[in-house]
Amino acid sequence: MSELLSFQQVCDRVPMGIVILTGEYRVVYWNRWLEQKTGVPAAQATGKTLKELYPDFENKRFVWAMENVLNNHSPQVMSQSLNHFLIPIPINNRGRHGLSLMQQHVQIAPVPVPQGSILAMVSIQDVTENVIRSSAYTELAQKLMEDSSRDPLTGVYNRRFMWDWLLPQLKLISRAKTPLACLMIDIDHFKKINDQFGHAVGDKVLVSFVGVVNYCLRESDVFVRYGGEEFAAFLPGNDLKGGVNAAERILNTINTSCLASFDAGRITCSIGVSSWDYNDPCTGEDLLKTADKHLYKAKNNGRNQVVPVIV
Amino acid sequence: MNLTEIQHDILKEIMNISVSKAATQLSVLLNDKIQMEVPEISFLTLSKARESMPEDEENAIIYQELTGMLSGRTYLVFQGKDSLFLAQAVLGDAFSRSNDKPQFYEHEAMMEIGNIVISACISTIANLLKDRIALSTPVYMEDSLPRILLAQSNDSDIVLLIRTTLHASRRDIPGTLVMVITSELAGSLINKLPRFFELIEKRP
Amino acid sequence: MKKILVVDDSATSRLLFRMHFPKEYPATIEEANSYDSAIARAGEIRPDIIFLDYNMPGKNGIDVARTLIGSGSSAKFILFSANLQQGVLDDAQALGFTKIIEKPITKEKIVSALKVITP
Repeated sequence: MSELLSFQQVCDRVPMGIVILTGEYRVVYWNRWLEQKTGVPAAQATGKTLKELYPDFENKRFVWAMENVLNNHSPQVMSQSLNHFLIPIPINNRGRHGLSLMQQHVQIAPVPVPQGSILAMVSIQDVTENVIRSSAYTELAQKLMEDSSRDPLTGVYNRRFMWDWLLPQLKLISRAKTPLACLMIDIDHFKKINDQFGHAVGDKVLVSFVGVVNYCLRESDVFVRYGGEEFAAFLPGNDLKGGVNAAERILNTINTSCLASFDAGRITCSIGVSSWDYNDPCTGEDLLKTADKHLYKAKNNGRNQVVPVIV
Repeated sequence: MNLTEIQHDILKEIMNISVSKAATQLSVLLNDKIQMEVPEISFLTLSKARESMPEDEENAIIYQELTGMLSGRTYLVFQGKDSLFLAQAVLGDAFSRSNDKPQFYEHEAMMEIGNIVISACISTIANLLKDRIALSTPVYMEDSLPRILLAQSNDSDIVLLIRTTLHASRRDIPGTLVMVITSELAGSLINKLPRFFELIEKRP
Repeated sequence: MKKILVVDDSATSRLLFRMHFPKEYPATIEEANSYDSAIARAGEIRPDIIFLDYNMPGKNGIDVARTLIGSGSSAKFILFSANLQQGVLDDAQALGFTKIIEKPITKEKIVSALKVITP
């Protein structure tokens, strides 16, 4: 079947720009994608150099890359991050990202032809969407990192924030007479993971662990990195039973999730639960202490479980 | 595999020229003065090379396959943190963050930087020895180099390690170019070294 | 008879220089392999022409020229380098280098440099 396909048929259907240049940088092929995006028909592009097509085209980096392709048969990458684009293609939907030209990831590969000469195939990928998305993520990540109330690795609240939040919260709920559940969550055998696979892997586990737990919590819950691999979660409006239910949900989700590059079930956690009740109020310290005591009980009982168990 | 003093010296000068050409290219790209130290070279068996590397260091690695005069693999290796500085030097301050791992744009930028350095080095080596070495497209990865060598190579392979330090205006970045070739090809590379003294005027 | 000093840390490179140096050119060639030995040899033999490698461990070829010019040398300087960055070219031009040669060294490149000195 494949011999029935012509080169042109294929190249005119790929969702990227393909331009083939001679050793003199003249266009011998300009695919349909490029025709559509640039408005320059193939007939007009053929035989011209990029400089003739785009008078402002001045690109030392491209010349060097072409020399390497033509003389040394060495394929070259011209990334969007360093070059932004090769062929200027205006984009219409100017958003608040401020981009006016299509962002491109460009690869140049040598194509030997029968007469012993060599052509350069330039493929152009439109990565504008990725750039917009990445910069949005970067902005968001930066905001989270700069926030002094958050842990820089995982982006969740830190201990400092926890105390600032917990004390007024206890005052609030003692007036409103609503309960508050507190979960102390610890990743099992985390030290072993760190020792065996290194801190970089350990960090990845922490980040993906936080992602999964966050998914199990509600918007109004407060999730804190308490220290190392230990986390605390506060669930306003939940009593002990509600807290234990939530803890079991977290435990099961962790058990069925792939964290970092580990198979599901390889990473587990133990959770101790306590609660604040207006019939039997306690201090913030005591709330945490009880949850911590239950966490150690869970660890001693063989890990990967929630304490207390409520039937 | 042992080199005589003369062979070692020729290889070192070839690498010095190659690495300098790569530095020149990089300086155009970075728009910055880039100096490179005279590289240290060593010719080792794979297992010896692995022993000389820290096992659990996270490296930023750009990898390309070689075919032609030298068949094998070539890796450009930076320490994880240093690679971030390199990428940030290229990308500018807009991207400097407190986080210490390269991501998003940096991967792409590192791949291109690696592609430039490797192409410049390998094509110079081929030209000086009047032969041809073709390269595959580059691949970027983050892992420990000894682990990758263990997975991708045979113990009988020969490793040519070329260590140098890049001095950019703001900081120094140590990097290693690692070429892994079979022992037969290593032998033929050594046999071709005298070609360096032949009149070097034309490309092959 | 011109006195020539060639400074390069690489023995290969110095050998290449001797091999490609035109036999018919009346000159004696002395060698040095570092900044320190270059300064010492230049003081002893008072060369007319100094060929300097750029990239050497420690101080580079331009540093050698700077020191020698500072101590009153009237030699002509020629730089060898595979590193032809604008910054390097600017430094060499500022010090009045006669010519800059891209490595690797060939006979044609040496001849063209000598032509600038003795047309």
